[in-house]
Amino acid sequence: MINIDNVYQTVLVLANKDNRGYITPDEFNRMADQAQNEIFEAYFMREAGYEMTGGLQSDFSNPVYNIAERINLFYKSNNPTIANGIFPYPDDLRQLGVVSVNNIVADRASHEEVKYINLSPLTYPVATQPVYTINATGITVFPDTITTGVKMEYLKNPTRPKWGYVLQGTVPYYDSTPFDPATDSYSTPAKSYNFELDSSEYAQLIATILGYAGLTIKQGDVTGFAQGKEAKFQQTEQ
Amino acid sequence: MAISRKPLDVDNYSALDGGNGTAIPGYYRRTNLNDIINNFMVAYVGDGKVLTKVPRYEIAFWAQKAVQEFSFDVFHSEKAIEIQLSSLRQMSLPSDYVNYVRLSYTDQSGVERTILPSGTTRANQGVAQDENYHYLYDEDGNIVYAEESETLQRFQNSENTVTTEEALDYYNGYYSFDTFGYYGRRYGTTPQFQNINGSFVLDLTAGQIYFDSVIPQDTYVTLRYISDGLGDNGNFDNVYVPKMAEDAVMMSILYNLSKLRSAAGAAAPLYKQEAAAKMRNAKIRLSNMKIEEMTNIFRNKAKWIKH
Repeated sequence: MINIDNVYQTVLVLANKDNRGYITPDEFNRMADQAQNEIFEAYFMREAGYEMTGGLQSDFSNPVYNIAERINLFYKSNNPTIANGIFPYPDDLRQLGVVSVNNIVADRASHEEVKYINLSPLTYPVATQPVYTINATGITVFPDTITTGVKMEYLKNPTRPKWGYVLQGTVPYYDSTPFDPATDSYSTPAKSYNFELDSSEYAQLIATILGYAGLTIKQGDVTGFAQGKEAKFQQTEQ
Repeated sequence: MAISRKPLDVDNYSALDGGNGTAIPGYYRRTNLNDIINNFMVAYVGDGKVLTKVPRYEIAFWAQKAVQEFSFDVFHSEKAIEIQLSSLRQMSLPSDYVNYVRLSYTDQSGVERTILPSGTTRANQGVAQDENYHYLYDEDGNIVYAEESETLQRFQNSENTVTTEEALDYYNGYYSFDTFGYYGRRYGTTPQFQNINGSFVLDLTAGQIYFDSVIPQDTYVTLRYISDGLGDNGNFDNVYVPKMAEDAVMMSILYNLSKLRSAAGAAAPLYKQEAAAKMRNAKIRLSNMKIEEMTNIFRNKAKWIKH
């Protein structure tokens, strides 16, 4: 987790040179969400690149493991309830991982493959050898006698961060009260929700937000600074 | 769950031996197919391994193929069922029957007497015919068969064996009497057809074994047969492989999977050799040769070997 107030204050300091670049909480919250998603989505391409090149592998400088650690902060599981023959996806699903039935790992199969799998007496799905297919709203598990015991392990989408505040006069003051995305509303200013990214992403996060902030406040030098920083991060990581 | 990492303590012995466990005595000598598949995935499938990504159902497919092949000539997977013959004097083949090893009846002393297949009669299907000898067809136009062929009925009902009295007459030289069944046949018979234990006809289409009249109703008949080891493959926990052949089964899976994948294909010839070598090892291990038992047999070497 990265404290959102620290990021906001740092961004304000960097963008607010000459008192010309104030970023409102609402603007910041939107840019924060965008930046977090951008960094998160980049993990997958970066990990694929690292795996292709092999690269250095030692205790603390294994890039594949390092990225995997950051991704796994978003690893979750749930036990869906069947509805009309389909086990629905969780609302915060980003990517489906392991599906198991009563602790037995189920195989993913394409819609064509599963037809042949069902026809072969040696691959016909049974409770000890389940198979599933992916649909628009959930998964279909074979054999269809399975109605309970399904567990989905998945990567969730990053939860939208929120810099909450309370107004004292016209000045917003940071409200550190924890925001609960399940029950609280993003349209009310109070309560805050931190970034879910790994703490090592602090500098990258600020640079990314600054990149967007430069556009908002029409300060090309801010954007240029942010782009330079991001290029430097990429070089040092590779 | 794999049993091999558990300690051999009181929890692993069954109540029969004063233990607390539920394990079947002798369980440890074998492992189930689920454990083999899981072991295979740990050892051979994954990032940086021989096979990077293989679905479990595909491994299960080749594991079952290996169990089938090994059941036919490596495992001692012989099964035996005993039934008491009804008045029909026929026996249904078990659902997991692949081939028979031996058919026998049990005599008064509990000795199993081998019943050999008939050398003169084979199973056939009798076509149902009308009084004009025309074939009969059902409403779909398919030919109708009789429930049992006349050949098999006659085989089961004929008194085609030599009685003790007839045999004595034969040896006493009364073969020239025209009332004797062997009249005019002094030149001899084929020993194959002189077997007093009776014979059977195997009808694979009907899934039945028919016995001749030598074997009467109420006889206890034992069928020893081989299966493909997959009679209960709805749950791999119930499909067993002897531990002496576990490695051979895994190598068979590895070879079959790698030969189908271009990334692992280069090593497939190596795996093929290894699979063949380990299969041979398993065969030797499971041949179960014990020096004392062999010595016991060889001590009878002075006896006349009749067949």
